[in-house]
Amino acid sequence: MAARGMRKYLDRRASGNFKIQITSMVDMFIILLVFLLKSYSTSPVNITPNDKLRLPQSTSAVDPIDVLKIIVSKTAVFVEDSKVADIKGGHVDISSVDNTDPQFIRPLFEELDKKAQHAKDLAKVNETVQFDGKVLMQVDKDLPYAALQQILYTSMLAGYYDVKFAVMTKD
Amino acid sequence: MSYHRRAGDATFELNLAPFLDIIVSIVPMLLLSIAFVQIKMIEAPTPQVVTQDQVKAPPKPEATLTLHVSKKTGFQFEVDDSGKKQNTNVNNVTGQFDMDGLVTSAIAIKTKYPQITKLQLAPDSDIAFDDLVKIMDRVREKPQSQRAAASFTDKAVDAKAENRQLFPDIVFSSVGG
Repeated sequence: MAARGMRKYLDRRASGNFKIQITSMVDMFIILLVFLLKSYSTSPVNITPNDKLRLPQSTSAVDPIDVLKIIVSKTAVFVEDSKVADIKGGHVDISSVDNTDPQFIRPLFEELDKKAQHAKDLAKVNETVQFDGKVLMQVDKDLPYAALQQILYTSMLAGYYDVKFAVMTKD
Repeated sequence: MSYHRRAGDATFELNLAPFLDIIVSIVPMLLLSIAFVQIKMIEAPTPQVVTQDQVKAPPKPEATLTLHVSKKTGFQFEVDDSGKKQNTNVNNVTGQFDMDGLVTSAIAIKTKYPQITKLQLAPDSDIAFDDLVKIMDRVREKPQSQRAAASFTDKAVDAKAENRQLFPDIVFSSVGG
């Protein structure tokens, strides 16, 4: 009796075809798609949130440009991806600072000078490339001006005088 | 009768599966290029190093404006009008920077010297970068609430215009000592 009932149930189940209702899933995906399209960014500056690099907020509406980047976090100074100096307690590590000129960070200058020379060499063979001394700095918001002053001074001596600071929008 | 039969036949179910395939392909691509934080930039050029033979005598500006920033004393605007110096102090309020006072003083100076667009920022060494950005934001443009009050009639187009800019060209004057 029980076996017959089971067979009846299985027959009924096998014969019954069904369709997955995907309408609500499509609705959800469209909402997600709209949100992602709104947050889509083609900005040349992309920052991964990090405890050691928090950018200040600003009302500036100028879009960033794709130029050489100097990143100044709470612990180090980077030129593009290469680390050039350490920062300890908000000050550039004394071993990186020049003995005769306390504003001059020698490893930073050497790296920037290399980049500037490379850009100038490129400009000689390619007219579309031009060395214009532009640099985009991503500076941690808690960095004191003393350290920033050293970095600005050194980059100025390397020919990078047109400084731009990356900031976050307030929206 | 025949109309009712036709209307009944016209119902159909849309096949959403290919549409879903497209969306599923697009979503990972968009997720890779998503930016939760919008980045903008502030221009703050430093003085340019030039050789002696490149030096040309620049036209002397009528007046220069310097803003000194100190954690102890607050802000001090220094206007050098053809050698005649005039200082405006904005003292701290309960140990904090008086940002509203800074804007009020900046507007007053702009009203007196409308030709000045450049501001030389001279902060003390212990001022945090975040404070500098806030100060630069305040002195670059008038706040929204004070724009209407500063509006004027543009005679060229005979229309109401407003000068929202204060000192848009900000440079760090103390770079290099």
